[in-house]
Amino acid sequence: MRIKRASAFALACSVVFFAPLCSALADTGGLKTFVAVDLVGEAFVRSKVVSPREVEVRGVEVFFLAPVDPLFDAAVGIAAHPENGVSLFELHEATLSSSKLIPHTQLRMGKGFLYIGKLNRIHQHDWPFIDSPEVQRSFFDDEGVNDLLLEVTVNTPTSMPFEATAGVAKGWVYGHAHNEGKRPQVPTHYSRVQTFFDLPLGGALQVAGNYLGRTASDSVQTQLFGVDLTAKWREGRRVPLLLQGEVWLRRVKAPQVDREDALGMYLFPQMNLLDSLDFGIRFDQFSVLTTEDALGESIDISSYRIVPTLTYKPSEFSTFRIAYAWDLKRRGDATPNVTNSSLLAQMTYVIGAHPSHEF
Amino acid sequence: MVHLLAVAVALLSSFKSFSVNAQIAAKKPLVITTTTDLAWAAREILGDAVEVRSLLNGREDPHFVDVRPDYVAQVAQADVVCAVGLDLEVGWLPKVISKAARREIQPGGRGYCDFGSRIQALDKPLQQVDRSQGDVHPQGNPHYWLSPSVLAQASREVIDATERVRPELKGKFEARYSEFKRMMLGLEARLKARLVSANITGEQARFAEYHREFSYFARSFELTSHDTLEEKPGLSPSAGRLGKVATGLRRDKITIVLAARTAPTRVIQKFEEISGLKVGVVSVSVSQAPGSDVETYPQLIEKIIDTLIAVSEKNAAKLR
Repeated sequence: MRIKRASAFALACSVVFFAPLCSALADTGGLKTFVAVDLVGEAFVRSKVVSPREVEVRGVEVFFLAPVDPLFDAAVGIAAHPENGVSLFELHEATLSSSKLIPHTQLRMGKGFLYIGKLNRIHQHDWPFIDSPEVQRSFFDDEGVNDLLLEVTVNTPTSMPFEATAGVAKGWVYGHAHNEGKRPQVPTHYSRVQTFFDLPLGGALQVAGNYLGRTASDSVQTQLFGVDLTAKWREGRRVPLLLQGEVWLRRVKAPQVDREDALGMYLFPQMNLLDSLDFGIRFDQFSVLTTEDALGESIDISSYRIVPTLTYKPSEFSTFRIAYAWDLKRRGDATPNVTNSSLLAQMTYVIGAHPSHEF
Repeated sequence: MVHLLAVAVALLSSFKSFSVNAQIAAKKPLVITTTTDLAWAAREILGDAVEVRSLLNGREDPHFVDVRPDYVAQVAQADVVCAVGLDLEVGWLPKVISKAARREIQPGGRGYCDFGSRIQALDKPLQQVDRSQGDVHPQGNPHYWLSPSVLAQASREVIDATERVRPELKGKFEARYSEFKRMMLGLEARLKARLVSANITGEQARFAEYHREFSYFARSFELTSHDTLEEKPGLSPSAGRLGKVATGLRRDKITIVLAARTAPTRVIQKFEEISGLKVGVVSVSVSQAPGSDVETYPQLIEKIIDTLIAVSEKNAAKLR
């Protein structure tokens, strides 16, 4: 809570009182700042289990980035998210990084999002769709796993691009929490190995394998195995075709309890209709693979979500989206049933110097 | 015994460092440029002593490029990294260089080379810049490579950067650079004479462009930019804007309209429909990609001049 208050104070000071100081620093220290605002709304058209929601500011992120000295760069980010009707600022990122200490090696330490998967590495306002796929919500706690970390990324200077990341995080908590958690038996550790291929017609594909593991204080062992991919065809400002997806398998083992395996994925193809207008459809799937019925027989219970999304992006700094989502459930071999459907809308904008995105 | 060991270690280490140094000296330095035009200039100036590669292939719009991992891998191998500069590559190159993670090629490092730092930038905004004005380059117009004389001036930077990383090559490129400058000035003079003989001078030398990227080209060839189809740089013009520009061009009898091949085709076609004028769509970068007809820089500039003359004649007949 102290951090939240301090963060809010820092934000207020920087925005209101110390703006001249910030701009002076920007001249002399290379300080870059940006603020990203993400508003979303969801109206349930057909709902069995959830009540309608209203429009809310899902997130306001305030970032400060600058070189610290000739060797290190720093990033500090605070973000406000609504919780129980109140937006609270909390520390999202406070990292020191260097790409100058060891050749071909990037080091990152401090508090930040783990460099793993696809969505976990991108701020939510930069996602190509509005809501979080169930696999992301279930395995990475909606926005992503954020922790105190020490991370090393190595890029090989070879004709075949290859990037490997290994990191260890404190792991007292996993995902979003408002307590300090408990010392884990094995802290969160993770790795990501990525490569890249050219595709026909000027396209390119980035594909990565990921692993994350942790054993909590109560001996519950969690392992995640995943693949993320991004394929893109670009023509100037337009991206005529984008394909983004992730597949994750989670294996949870607790003492004296059967192992639980869950599989989740999403796939999002998007095509450009006009200069600033894109249309995509996201397909989500989530299954607990080890569910058994009353007789102890294995049974497949899967949930699906189909989300056609229309995006209007007049510039890289503002985005407007509208989407319709169908939630479906399937039990055994039965035909999937629509359980919910809802209309979603989003508006995001960025002011200040937003750094460039990864591929 | 201790002395003997020390001598042996010293000998071994000096042999090792000698062999490493010999390997470095034997290997040609690798110069990576962002665009094909800089790569062409670097090859002309540095010759066979250096290997030169370009990240882009000449078909892309260098304003909008992704941080591709293959760029990171290429830059990670480079001894020298050259950028057009003036913030042209600001959306992607800093990230590529940072991910390549080598101190020598990062800005301020001895292998970093910014061609744009050598020139006097045009179209530098006089007032404070913000995003309501579109994609304005606060340091000035970065499209200087379309002027042969300005590209020659900017290219000096690659010699200095190469000599910084390989001091043993110092002074070896001066003769080639002098020859390069002579060739570029000769190209400019020859094509300027072609424009004069095609009667594109004075009032006839006014032109409109899709994006303000022919400013340096215009200055070299004594042309005058009359208007841009874009109302704000980097933003697609509305139909109303296209109509307004079309009316102005017809009223003022402007016969030359130029656009880069990366300009949105749909907008160019719409403008041609509205105005009844032919737009000269040209490559603005050298490309060795299959099907390219501008594999060298002189071919590129000649092709722009050819298109400009052809479009001028066609549109003059329409406006008569």
